[in-house]
Amino acid sequence: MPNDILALGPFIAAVSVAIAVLLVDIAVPGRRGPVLVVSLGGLALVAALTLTTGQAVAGGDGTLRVLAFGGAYVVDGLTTFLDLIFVGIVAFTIVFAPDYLEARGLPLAEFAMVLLFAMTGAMLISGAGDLLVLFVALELMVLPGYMLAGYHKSDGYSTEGAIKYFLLGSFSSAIFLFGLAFTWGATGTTSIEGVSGALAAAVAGGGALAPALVLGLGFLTTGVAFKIAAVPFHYWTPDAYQGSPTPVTGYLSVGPKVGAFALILRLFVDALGPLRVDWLQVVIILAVFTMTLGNLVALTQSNVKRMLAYSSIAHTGYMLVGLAAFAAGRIEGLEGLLYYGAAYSVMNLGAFAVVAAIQRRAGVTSGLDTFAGLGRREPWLAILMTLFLLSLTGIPPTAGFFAKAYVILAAVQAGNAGYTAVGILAVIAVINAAAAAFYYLRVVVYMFMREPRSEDAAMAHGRLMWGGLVVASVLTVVLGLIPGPFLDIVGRAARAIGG
Amino acid sequence: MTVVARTWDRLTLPGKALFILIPLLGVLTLGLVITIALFGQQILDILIFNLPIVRFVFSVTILMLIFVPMAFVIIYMEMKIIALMNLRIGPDRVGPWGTLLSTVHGLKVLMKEDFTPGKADAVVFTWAPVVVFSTAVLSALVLPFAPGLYGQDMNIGLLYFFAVGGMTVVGLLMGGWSSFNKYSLIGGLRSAAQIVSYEIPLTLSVVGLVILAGTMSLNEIVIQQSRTGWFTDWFMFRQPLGFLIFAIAATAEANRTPFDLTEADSEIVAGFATEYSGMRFGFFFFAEYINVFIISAITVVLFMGGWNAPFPSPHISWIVDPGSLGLWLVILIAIVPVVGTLALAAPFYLFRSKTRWWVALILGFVLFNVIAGGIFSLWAYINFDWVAGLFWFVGKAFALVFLFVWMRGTLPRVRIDQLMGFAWKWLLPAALLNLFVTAAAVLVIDAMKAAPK
Amino acid sequence: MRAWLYLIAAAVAGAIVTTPALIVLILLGGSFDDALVAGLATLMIAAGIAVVSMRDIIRCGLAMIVCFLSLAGLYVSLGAPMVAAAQVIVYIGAISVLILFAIMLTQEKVGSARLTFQTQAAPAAIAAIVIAVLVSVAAFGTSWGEVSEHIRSATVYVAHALFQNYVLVLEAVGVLLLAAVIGGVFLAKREKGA
Repeated sequence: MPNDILALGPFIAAVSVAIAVLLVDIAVPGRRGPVLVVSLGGLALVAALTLTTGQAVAGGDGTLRVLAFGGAYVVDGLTTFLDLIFVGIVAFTIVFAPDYLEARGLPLAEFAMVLLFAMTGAMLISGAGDLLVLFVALELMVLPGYMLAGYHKSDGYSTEGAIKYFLLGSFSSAIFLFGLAFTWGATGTTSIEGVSGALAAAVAGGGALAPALVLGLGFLTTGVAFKIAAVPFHYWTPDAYQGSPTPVTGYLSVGPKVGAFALILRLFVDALGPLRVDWLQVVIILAVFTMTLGNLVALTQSNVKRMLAYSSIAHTGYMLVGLAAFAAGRIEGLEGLLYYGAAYSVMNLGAFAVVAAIQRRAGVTSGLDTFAGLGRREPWLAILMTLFLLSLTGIPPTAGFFAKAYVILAAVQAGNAGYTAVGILAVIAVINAAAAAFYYLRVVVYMFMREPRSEDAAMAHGRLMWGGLVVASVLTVVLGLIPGPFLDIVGRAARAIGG
Repeated sequence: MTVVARTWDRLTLPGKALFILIPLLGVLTLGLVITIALFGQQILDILIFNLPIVRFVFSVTILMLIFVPMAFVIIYMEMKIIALMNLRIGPDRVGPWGTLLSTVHGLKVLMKEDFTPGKADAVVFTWAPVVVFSTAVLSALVLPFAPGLYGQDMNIGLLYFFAVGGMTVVGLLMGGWSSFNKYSLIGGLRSAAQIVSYEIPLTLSVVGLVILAGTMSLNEIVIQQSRTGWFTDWFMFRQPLGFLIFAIAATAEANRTPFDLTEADSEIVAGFATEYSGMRFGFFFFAEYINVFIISAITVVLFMGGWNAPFPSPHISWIVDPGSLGLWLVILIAIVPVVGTLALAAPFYLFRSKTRWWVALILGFVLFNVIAGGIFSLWAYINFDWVAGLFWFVGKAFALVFLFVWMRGTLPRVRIDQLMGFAWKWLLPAALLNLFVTAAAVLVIDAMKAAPK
Repeated sequence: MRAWLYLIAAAVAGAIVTTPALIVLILLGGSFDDALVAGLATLMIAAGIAVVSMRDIIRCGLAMIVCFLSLAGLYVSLGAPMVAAAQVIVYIGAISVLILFAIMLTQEKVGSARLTFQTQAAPAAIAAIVIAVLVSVAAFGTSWGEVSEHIRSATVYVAHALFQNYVLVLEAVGVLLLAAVIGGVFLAKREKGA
């Protein structure tokens, strides 16, 4: 039992930080200083604890797998890696939020607290060893998201987005749970190892899969596709993203998405791994539609938030390419997926942070016009935005380039190894990446080559915001320039489940 | 128009229904008798094969049959006791000391016009009292009245009780909504808010008890309270806070004073029942008083030892087989009443010259019956566990009913915001505290027991 | 006249619910359990159709309660009374009542209470039928093996499962509820001065 608690240490610490924020807000209501100190300090603590737990429990190289709570919780390289990403995402979101929230009279404490709760859910997903843990953790991760989407209560769009997000989100959770029930029924166990074992035995036995299992697989895929907003299950995304307060949009486009990919890793790669061949086709089709449609619709958007929403759908598609490459037998696909997740988190959060910074004054929209002449008004902000957009496009030497290259390379390798469909997928991904340049660079054009629409004076931004932006941009560049050390960690994480 | 047709037209709707139903019933009865005569054995087999379901139907029927007279008794109690507390005389016309008044009330309600408001939702309006009444009856299914005397002994009895009891609110909401009357609607909404809120401390307050008892079966919980046979085993002494919370929350659940806001007559006429009349109102009315009994009974079961006597009582198995008496049996039945009556009548006749002989005989007969009944009851009490159990159970339950009536005669009504605030801000934390302390204490005691000495 | 209509409607409804039960009772050799399952299942489907087809939203809510209740009855007849009790407490005692409560607070009784989402009745019906067919094909086409043995479980086993195998899930649910409460309170809280 003490070992179990030790393995769960980061999760418990995260919950404690969330509760500490609550208590701090009760003690000194409405002050942002203490909330920031407690939440960011707590996040640092959680990160440190995650690292030491990963070292202590799972062994130095992270491939060792430690089971806690009778197998319900797993600590391995993947858990540590994903936990760190989640901590980073939430830290960035909390850093970028205060200026925007303050301008609109929204409290910071509830924001930080609910984000921290969402993070605990994501951390639980990354270490789930049981289907039920997986489901509850998924709910724990997305439920705060519904509330965050409607965080701007007096704004009709925010409420609308929140309700759409909530309805479709809970609907997809129900579908997902239904799928879990069928999987349990067909395999007789809820533990991921047990499911994997039972499926391996079933596959080895030959013959067709049980109808219940097929249906369960279908439901699970549908539910997860909703969560990662893969086409054709993406309808909630644009409205939820556009309506939410911008820092929330940044979080929603990253946190729940990476969390859902963690879910895919634990569920599809780990538990349903023996059925790889069966879900590979579905992933390929989803990836094609997701990339293409996301990019095509993003081309027509005149609102930057909405454009980034559709582009995030496209990025989901690229990550699915990595998954497909992995299902076709290339471990590099998994590494690429993990690397992509990290890089995408940093650059997308950065881009949204710039949008949030521009919306420092209440009432400023996120339309493309707002960006006109930004290069003259606020050159530093415009340069950072350009960097993030270039990275999102996939221009070297940024993290985005390396991520795309990694994923596509893996797919090409899989294509060479006989999986022609995956090879074609790589081609489509390249075409899409080129198409994406149009809409990303359009924002750059607006920023530097258009006259300012109005005589808006430059706005002052907090040190926190600048600090966060600098860290994000440095990470974007460093991940692209010297990815070596980082790739080691990614490789360990990938080998933990795919090796 | 023929005579038959004219007569048929003069019948009211219930009359027409009865006119058709009664012959139908006759035919059905005849058919049933013939069926039983022909296939009796098979039917019996099927029934035995499905014993749980048969038992369920049977016990619900029995409960319904007991509960209507029980409601009459409680209604009479309430009228009379509150009258005495108010220094009035109360009912004194119908029956000795007015005891039959509530029965007559019940009959009156049956004969009143059953009125449905013009814009009411007639279907929902009709079903609402049915729901309220049937949930009250169904929730009593798990009450253990005496050893071996219960409808069903479920291992989730307590959960069942709360589940079914909580459904009452659906009926109240239905009634409040369908009446098309603002007072009804407010009454229904108040009841929903109140019952849903108080359900939480009510349920939480007994979790500590469940931890101690280790079971949710009401039967087992009662048995747990009879370790030594003394009243100190009762859970109200081991869970005083839980008992207090439960009693308060249960009062609110039953919509009794001081929490009877759903039918606060000074504010919203009669709450959800404003538009009701006739027997549909009667169902609401009965259900309310049945609920008073049920709440008292569940409190007795959970916290006051159920059917257990407060002190160890002798148990003697002294069952006389009437067959072994032979000729004495005849003598006993034929002679003892006569002799007893005469013997008891004699003193009145002999020592009070004014007493007429037939008056003395009547007195003697009554006195004999009282004494014989007393001896018989004593014998039954000592011999049969269930008689003793029933005695104590009903006695305790009615003592609590008296307490409820007393509260109604004494306490003022609370305000709705006070009511809700009290549930969420005081009862709920208190119930959680109780649960926490109980669980901690159980852990500590277990650890101390397990520790090597 | 209306009274007669109600009586006839009640008789028809009763017949619809009881006929499958009686058929099952006669065909399967007098087991009340099977008859009960058939009757409850019919009631549940009828109530479910009523929920989506009736116009009066309050009646829809009440039909939903009937639906939940018959589902609870099915749980009981399948040997899971604990689940049934939880179903009644949570879904009828709390959720449905709160839904009705909210509707009653916000809805005008006068005027049409037609639900707007009934405009997509046909696609919804098709989707429902397709899913029903899929699920029944999957359920009947699979040999469930030992899993079906697990279903009849007493409260004790539920407790053991909850507090031993799934204790982490239980704790996580606690965190989930805390997060949900905080979020709900924040969204429902009235701003000062607003």
